[in-house]
Amino acid sequence: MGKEKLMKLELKDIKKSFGEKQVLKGAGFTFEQGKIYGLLGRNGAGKTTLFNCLSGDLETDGGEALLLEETEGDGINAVNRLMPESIGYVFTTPILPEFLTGYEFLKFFIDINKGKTRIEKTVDEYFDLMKIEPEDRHRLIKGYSHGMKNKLQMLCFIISRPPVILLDEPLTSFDVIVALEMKKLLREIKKDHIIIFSTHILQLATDLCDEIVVLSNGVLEQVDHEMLHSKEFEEKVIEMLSDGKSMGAESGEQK
Amino acid sequence: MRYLATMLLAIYNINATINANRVIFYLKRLPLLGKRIPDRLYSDSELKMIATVIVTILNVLRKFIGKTIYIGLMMVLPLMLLFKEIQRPEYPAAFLQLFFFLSLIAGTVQISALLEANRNKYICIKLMRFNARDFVVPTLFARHATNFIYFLPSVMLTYALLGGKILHGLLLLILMTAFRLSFEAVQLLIYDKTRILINKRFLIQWLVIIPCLAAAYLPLFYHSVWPVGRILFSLPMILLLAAGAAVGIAYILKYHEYKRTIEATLKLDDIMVDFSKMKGEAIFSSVKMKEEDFSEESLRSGKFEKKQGYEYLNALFFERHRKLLEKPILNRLAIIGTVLAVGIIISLFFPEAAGQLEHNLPSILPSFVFVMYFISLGDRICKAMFYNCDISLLRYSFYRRKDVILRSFIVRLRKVVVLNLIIGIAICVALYIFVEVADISFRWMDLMLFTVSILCLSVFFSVHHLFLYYVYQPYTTELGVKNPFFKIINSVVYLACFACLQLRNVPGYFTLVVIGATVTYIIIGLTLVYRLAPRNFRVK
Repeated sequence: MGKEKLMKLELKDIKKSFGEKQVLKGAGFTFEQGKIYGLLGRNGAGKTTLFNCLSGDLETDGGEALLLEETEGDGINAVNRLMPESIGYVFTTPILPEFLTGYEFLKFFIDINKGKTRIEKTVDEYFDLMKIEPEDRHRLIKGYSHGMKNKLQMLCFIISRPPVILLDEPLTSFDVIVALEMKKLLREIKKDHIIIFSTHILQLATDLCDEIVVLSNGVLEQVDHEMLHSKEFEEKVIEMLSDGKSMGAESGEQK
Repeated sequence: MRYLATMLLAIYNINATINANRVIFYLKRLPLLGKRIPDRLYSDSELKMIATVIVTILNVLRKFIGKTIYIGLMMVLPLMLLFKEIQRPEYPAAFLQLFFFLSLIAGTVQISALLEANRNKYICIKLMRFNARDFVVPTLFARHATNFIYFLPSVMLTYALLGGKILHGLLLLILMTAFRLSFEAVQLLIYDKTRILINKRFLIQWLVIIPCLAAAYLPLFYHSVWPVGRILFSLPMILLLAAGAAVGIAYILKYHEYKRTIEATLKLDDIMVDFSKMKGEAIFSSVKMKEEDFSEESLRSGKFEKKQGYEYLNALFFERHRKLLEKPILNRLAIIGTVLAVGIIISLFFPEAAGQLEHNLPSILPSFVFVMYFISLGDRICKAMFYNCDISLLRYSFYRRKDVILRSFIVRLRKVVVLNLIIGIAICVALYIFVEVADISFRWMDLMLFTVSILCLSVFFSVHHLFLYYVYQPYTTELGVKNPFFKIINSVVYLACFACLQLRNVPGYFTLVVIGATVTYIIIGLTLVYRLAPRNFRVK
């Protein structure tokens, strides 16, 4: 051991079109472990499309996503294609099997991850961690609120600890207190993961994220780190987003 | 008048654009051709104009043909075929009687152009914020005027051909339109005073429709015809209907609460307007789970706590869907029991009928292939699997892994096979009992082979449904079926079963063919699942 390992997610020239409309026009970027990236983009810019391409829900038209492993001093020592298993994906609209209770889903999820990762807690302890009340644990997920479902989805990646975590505008459905708890939690676990967090709420991005990446006109572009807490930051981001004005204006959200 | 025309033109344009967009939308979904149709067709106003004109012409033709078919089926054909006692000179009077009760009275109570909710009204008034009065009053007149025109050729021609005066045909339609206009006003008045929508009250409607049907057809059975024409075409009646229409139109034009009234009637029907949604809901409801069906204790019981992972998941799935699975099984067992009881009674009273089976057991097997097609479970279970379980879990990469897909396939197949075998065994047992009670002699070998083929068919249909589900994953998120291969294979299997039903001289080796074919299909199906399901089993 001794030497620190660092993971990187490298996107190369990712392309995706729907019909005649090109949503991703060769998006490329390298994300690093230990940081929370805020993926900013206007409605319909292609944030969800990019996530779906990475998670394998959509097939890309071109480009690749690689997971690199670097050891301090030795440089890159492993290059793998990003596999769906390496991703924890929290959807905007949480999708869970509604015929199970929260407890049953979590037990099932822990079961199938046994042997792959170290399971540190019992089902109930995980619920405690997410502050899901005991009386809610044995109700059908069908009756859960949006926020509760999102909490369950977050528990999934806390349990399976995939290298890459994609969060598609999840905090918008949380109330103030839960949102604060979730932010705290993400900061706690970030050192072991590459976390990409999509949102169109600028304040949320600046508040939670270490780096801001803008998806505009089908490509990814990083906001200079120095800018992040400067006065001109907002103007700069607006400028970057409006560069793709024609894009944003003509595109509807892809379904 | 100009205002009326402008409004109607505006409404027509919106309607036509919606229709043209729908045509393009569905064309784009056609296999092969659909991909070649570019998105920009939506904005190509010239092409769209052509589509609009075609759709309009087709619609008008459809209306004319529809009215003609209606007159033919409801009035002319019964007159010619059913009531042969009615003599030719009586035809015009008989036609008047049928038209009066069926169209003039029963048809009128079913129409309320003012108060009914439909897609166009919803789009224009609720979404596009048309002034309610500006929308409903012109459409009301347009509706009744076009209806008059659509009826015109078929009614006048039919009436003349039957021997009536052609102008009386015209008068009949004018009187009908007058009556309908006054009844529109009556419905509006009733709704305004009591909030009762007559065209939504099915009881009221049937209370009118059934007596009308009786009054229209029953007298003809007794070779008598009401003197409808004499009353309807008399001057007092004409004046009465004209006055009614005039008062009605005045009331409709003077009425000032359209905004509130129309908004209220549209609200009632919000869901009805979204037809695709309504259809989806109807299909879903057959596989939907209700939260209140499960007590807190049953959700807490931890009954399967010892099971692990996917075993645990599938055990819970079948546990939560027990109602969905048990009820059809019990229904089918009840049907089998009833058929057995009826069969036994028949064999007691008509022993010679049962005697036909003597030494001839294989001859009934073809019919049983068809019976098994209908009595086997599978389609609904697959829908429940998809809608309640897979549709969500397939979003997770772990659930899309090859080993996981195949493992859960096996667990599910086992369960469905057991359910279908219960039915298969029940059928066999029923047959043994029948053969015993009816004292039919048979060859042991035949009975054995019959049993084996029924059980093979049970397994066959279980594999069939799950194989199609896993390989072609046919359902969309709305549970509609869109995969053409799914439809083709399903139709071929259906046709094969149906063809069996048509077999008259059953060859001796038929039983062996059934066993052979089912076993072959099962093997091919399972192989294809193993090879294709990991790639194809996705939410589409």
